[in-house]
Amino acid sequence: MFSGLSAHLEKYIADDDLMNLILKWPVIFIGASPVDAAAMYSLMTYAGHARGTWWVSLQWRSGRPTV
Amino acid sequence: MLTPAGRYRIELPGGVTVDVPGTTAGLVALAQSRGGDEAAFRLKLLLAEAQVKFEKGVYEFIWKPMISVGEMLDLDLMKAGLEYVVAPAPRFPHPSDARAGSAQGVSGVQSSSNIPLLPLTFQSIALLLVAGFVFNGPHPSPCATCQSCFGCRHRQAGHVLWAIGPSRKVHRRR
Repeated sequence: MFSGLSAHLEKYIADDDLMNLILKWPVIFIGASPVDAAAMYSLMTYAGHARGTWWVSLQWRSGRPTV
Repeated sequence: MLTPAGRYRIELPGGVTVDVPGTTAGLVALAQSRGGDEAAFRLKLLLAEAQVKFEKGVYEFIWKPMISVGEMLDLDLMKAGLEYVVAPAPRFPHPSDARAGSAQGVSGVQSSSNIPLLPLTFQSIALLLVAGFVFNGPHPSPCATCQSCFGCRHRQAGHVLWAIGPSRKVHRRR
């Protein structure tokens, strides 16, 4: 709870570099360092998977993209 | 328009790409394929702990205005933060516990109690609990105005309870 995200994840998944990277990815995506970010940011990992990963689909109308 | 993604792709150095499932079930399956039941269990435990943070943090904590230090020390929030850290085993049994049956607890059977705990001392927990009680007090009793929404822990749309202290209650309609 009071450690960094990297240290927090290593308590659970220490021996799988790929899974470790995947779980850190949502924090990296928002521009934070997993080493410096608080362990609280594991809620980003949860939200990205349990609440779904979404993307914005664009449509071209009149020569410009619209959401 | 937002579209749910079933998966997303991470590009690693060297041109390697990894397709990551966009769902919990898919991610757990990926962990299981790479590390077996133990890896899947640890991932599920991590996500369960993160779920508590998400629901408490998003649905309750951020609804409270940051107007005093005391409200940061909320007993409910503190309890949620430590929920899966102090004793995960009762509410999150390891899969091998079920397989072991009566052999549960026998040496060699891994259980969730093997998950390392955070380096919290009893003194620091006690200090935080006391500080939270002194500054914030217990949750105030629901009054007639918020009786209907207090039970659902402030999640009812349009009604937010500001619990500042034991003697101050402010109710606002959003």
